[in-house]
Amino acid sequence: MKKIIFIASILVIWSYSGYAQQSSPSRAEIVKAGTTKKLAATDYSRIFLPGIEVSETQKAQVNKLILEFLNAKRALNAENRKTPGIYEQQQPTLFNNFKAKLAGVLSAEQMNAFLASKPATGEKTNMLRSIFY
Amino acid sequence: MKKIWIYYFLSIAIILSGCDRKSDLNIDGIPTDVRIAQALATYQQKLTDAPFGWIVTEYTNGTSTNGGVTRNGPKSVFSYYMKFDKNSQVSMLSDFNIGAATVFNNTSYRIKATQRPTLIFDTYSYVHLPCDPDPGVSNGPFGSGFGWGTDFEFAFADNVPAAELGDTIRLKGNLNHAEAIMVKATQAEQTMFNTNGFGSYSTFNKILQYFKRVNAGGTVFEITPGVGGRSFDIKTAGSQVITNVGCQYTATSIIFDKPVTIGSLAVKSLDNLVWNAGAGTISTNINGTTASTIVPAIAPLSPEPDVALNFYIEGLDNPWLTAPGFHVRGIDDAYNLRKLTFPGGTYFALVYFPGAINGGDYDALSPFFTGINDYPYLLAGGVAAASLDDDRLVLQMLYGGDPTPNPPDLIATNRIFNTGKTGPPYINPSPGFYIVRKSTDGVYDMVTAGDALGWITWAHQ
Repeated sequence: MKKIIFIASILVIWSYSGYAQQSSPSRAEIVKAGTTKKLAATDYSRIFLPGIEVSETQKAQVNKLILEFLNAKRALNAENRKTPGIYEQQQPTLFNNFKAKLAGVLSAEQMNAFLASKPATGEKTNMLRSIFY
Repeated sequence: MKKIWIYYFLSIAIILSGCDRKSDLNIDGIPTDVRIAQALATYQQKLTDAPFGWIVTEYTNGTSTNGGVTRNGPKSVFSYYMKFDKNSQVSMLSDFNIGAATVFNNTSYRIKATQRPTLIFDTYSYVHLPCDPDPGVSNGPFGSGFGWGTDFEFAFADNVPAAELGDTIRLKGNLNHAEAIMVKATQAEQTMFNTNGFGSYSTFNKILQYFKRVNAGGTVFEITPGVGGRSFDIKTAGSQVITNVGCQYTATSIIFDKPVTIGSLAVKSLDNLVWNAGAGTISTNINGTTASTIVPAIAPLSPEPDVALNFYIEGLDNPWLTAPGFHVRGIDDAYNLRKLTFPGGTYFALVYFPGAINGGDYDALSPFFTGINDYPYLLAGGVAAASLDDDRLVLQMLYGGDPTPNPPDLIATNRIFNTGKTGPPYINPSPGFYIVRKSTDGVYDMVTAGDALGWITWAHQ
């Protein structure tokens, strides 16, 4: 009998602790999760390859490359907040690696069109700036 | 067998004695239900016997309850002028908004015995506005499903018989336990309410700018709205101390719920408010005596150093949220963002998420809809480029690449983000926004630096 009561008590405590852990996420957490999910699924080709026709196969590959690039850039930006200057130091390598991978997906003509879309240094509202600078 | 009959009759006797209708609760021969009816009638008579009506002030305790869930938030004070009649009708004014402050609302009430004798406002009235679970109605900061923590059913809380109630009656809300105090109005007060309504509320809100300055005996202090607009945040020149005070509006005065020390003055009230239309200022007497003027300002009196930068950094890992859109020229959520729709989604919040886009280069500044997986590249925008200019946050809305056009309300909202003003003529480059820390932890207001006529409140919840 004692064992039954003991086991029942354990089960009750366990079920309550499980319930407590299921507390609903905060509104900010909901938004963060939504952003992360969306950014992973975004069609970046429509933003960063404007006016360049890409096939569906290329689009999937380009989106994967850009997402990887932006995630690496996000990490570098975060690092730069701790170690100012590291972004300027490592960005060229990051971009060149990306460019090399992109050239393996796009045709020479598409690649030239992409490189020609590089915005001027002061063009801060051009979204393509995020790739080139 | 004899014993069985004895037990049988004994049982019948016990049962019958249990059914005796004679009640020990009778007092002076008056049954309970009659006494209750008499007491309720006396309560009603007390309410209707005030020939000039009642001034009712309701104080919340900083919590709001719905469906067994309680949320914490700012305390608030709401004021009413009420006139009860014998036909269970009550006409009232309220300081809830400009309309309610000046136009009488007629509604019904009941006095009912629940656990205690209770005053119930039983049809939708000004009393229900701050209780409304739709934040689009209550303008409350407690979130969807919650009002300000006010009540519309109040128990009489004086612990004296109804007949002994005097010119002041205390009430306690049955759900949120808000406290209300009813004070009999004088004939002069009734005349003022009938003529100008809650004149102090409508006069004070004639200054539409976010920043209002008052000279208190040589020391200037600044008033900005507390979270949700039901209190004041007060700062003095050169100080970063923010004092939050609840406000009770009367026909001619604004009374603080606690004195605020400004220089050598303990400011308790702003009295005799008079609007000077030509100058766009308000004349007043501090504490009823010290003559002063409330003037609008388009910049903070005592800007907090690096507040815009710190606001930006704090949002990098923790997005800023707001449910209502911009307050513009006296109108809350002027562009009805809470009513924003998108096929398949439900509006959740407007979100400012610094550094969320393009690996940290840009910010997400977009409505967030639950139920759809399309954020922040929703519609034709939602992306902002931010910069700092003299500790003001300057935003430029970018084309996010989605061909879906923005609805007009979002276009109007984005225009304010872009220009830092609520209307033309616009300034180039945009002056951006003052970021103002509020007395409530983790809450900031973003104020149009071009005219201080628009603002939006950001928090992480």
